[in-house]
Parts: sequence; structure tokens; C-alpha cells
Amino acid sequence: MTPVLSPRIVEVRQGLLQRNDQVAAELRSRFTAAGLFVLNLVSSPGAGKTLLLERTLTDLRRAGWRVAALVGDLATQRDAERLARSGAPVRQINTHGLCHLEAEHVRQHLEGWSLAELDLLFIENVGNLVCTSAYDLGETRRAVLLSVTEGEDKPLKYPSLFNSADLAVISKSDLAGVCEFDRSAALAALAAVRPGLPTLELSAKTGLGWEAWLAYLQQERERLGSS
Amino acid sequence: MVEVHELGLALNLVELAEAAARQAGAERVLAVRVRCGVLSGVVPAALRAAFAQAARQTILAEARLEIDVGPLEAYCARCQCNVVLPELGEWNCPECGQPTHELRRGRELELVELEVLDAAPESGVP
Repeated sequence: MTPVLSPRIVEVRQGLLQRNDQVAAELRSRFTAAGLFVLNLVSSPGAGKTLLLERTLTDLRRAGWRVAALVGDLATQRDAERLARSGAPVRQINTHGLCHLEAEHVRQHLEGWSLAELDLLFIENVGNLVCTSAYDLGETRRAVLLSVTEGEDKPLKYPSLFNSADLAVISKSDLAGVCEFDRSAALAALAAVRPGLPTLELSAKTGLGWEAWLAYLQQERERLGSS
Repeated sequence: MVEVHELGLALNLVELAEAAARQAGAERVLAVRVRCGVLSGVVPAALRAAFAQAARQTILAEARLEIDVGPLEAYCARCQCNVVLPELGEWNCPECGQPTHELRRGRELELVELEVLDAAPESGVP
């Protein structure tokens, strides 16, 4: 007679992203130990992350900050080449089709850099509003860009990413008039997915709102130093 | 179509589930129960399609995937407890009406449990 087997339950309770979370936690403690402020920049493709970084790296270096950047893309070295013109150390991460950066990418691409000799590290994530939200990179802060050309309701369509952010940057604000950008609708959408989310509005092209952005970076970097 | 994001998650899921099932001495997995918070960014239908692919030729090949979409829970400072928020965009405590500020659950993405079948005992063993 064939014995009758009855199903049983095996309790697991493990996060699907636990491996990434572990690497991210290790990175975070290295960053903290080195006094390094790390900003993870996320947005849809074409929201202006690279131009924002280009100017930011140039200006911060001029002001005496030691800055570096990792830049993620599915393919090509184009963004790294653009950013390297600022004079800052820059490394390109090619994900070969993967839609987001993972903590392991960051860990590998930091090899050989002395973190203690940097003040600020920018990580430009792959342009994507879905996948990037679930992967912790060990960053100190996550900034999400929303360009005025994209539509004010983006936060409502992609709540997971906008909820995970520590700062919203409304970019390309020089085009707000042309695009009939509805500022109050955008702010309401942001508040709906993340009440109290600090928000800056700027144009990396014209410099509108630029001082507040640099002040934010400086303030967050100093807060890290004093904690 | 299988979405890249969910495929990555499904591969992680299969790997975790396979390891847990083997460790428990199971031969076959009948069901996999996953919990996704509403802010986890996961589309259940996409995860299901990706899982079907990722589970091929494993002990999970026949398993059903059950996805429990967990609600948003926030801490209410006035009530001093976690409260379930009725919908995204409504951040006030449903009990006292005060704004909540601290999300406690809603972003999780977790393999909760497996339903497994054990290996059949050797024939001839009483």
C-alpha cells in the first residue's frame, strides 16, 4: 500500500531582498564610519539627473568639497564621460539590461576608492520609477526627480518610489510655464504618497532654485557629521 | 510578458523557497505564500507570471503562488498603536483623525511560508 502523505506547512518569513538588504547595511555602516554622505538619485529616464549632477559636481568641487559619483545605466559610458568633465572621480555601472542598481553593484564599483577622503558620493540610479524603489543601496538619502515635463500625477502612478524618497526635486522648472505645469497639483500628489516630503524646485540649466539645492546638500552632510 | 523587475524577485523567491524546502526535508512544494505591501512596488500578476517561469524544473514547478497584499499600517502617536490606513493617500488615523507620520508596514516583500510534501518513505519499510 502506498503511504498517504499529507502536506505540511514550513514557516519561512524571509524578505525576498534580504541579500541586497545585507549588502546595503554593510555599505551604510562603511559610509557612516567614513563620514560620507551618499545620495541616491532616482527618476524616470530623461528627468534631468545627469545634468543636475554635472552642475552639482562642478559647483561643489569649486566650493572645496570632495565629491564623486557612480552612474548606472543599462549600457554605454556616455553619462560617466559627461560627468567626468567636472573633474570629479566618476565610475559608470552598466547593468546590462537590469532595470535598477543593486547594493552589490555599488560595493563592487567602490573598490579602490578611499571613502574617508570623500565628503559626498552621488549614485545616479538607472532611469526607472518602479524597480529602483525596492533596492536599498546603503544611501544616506534618496532623492527623486520629477521634471515639469512629466505630468503632475506621476507620484500617484508610482507611489512606491515617491514614498521611499527623502527629498523630491522638481526639475526643469525653467520649462514650467511652457508646459503649463500645475505646481499645486504636483505638490498635492507628492503629499498624497508621502506627507511632509521636503521638496525643492530647480533648473540645472538656468540655475533657478540652485542655492537651495546646494544648501540642502550642505545641511544634510553637516547633519551626518554631527550625529 | 514577464517584467524584468518581477523576474528578478521571482528568481530570489524560488532560490529562498527551494533552500527552505530542502532544509525542511521536503520533496515537493505545493504552495508558496508571499506577502507584498501595497507600497512594495510589486504587481501581483507580473510576479505570478515571472514565478511560473522561474520555478520551472525545480521542486516548486507545480507550486501555486499565493500573494497576500498587505495593507498600509502607520503608527499613531495619539492612540499609541499601529493603525491600518484604509487607502493610499489617506494618512490620518482612522480612530482619532490625527495625521500619522510613521509608516510601519506596507513596503514589505516577504516569503511567509511553504506548503510542502515530504519524501515518501522507502518501500518495504513498515
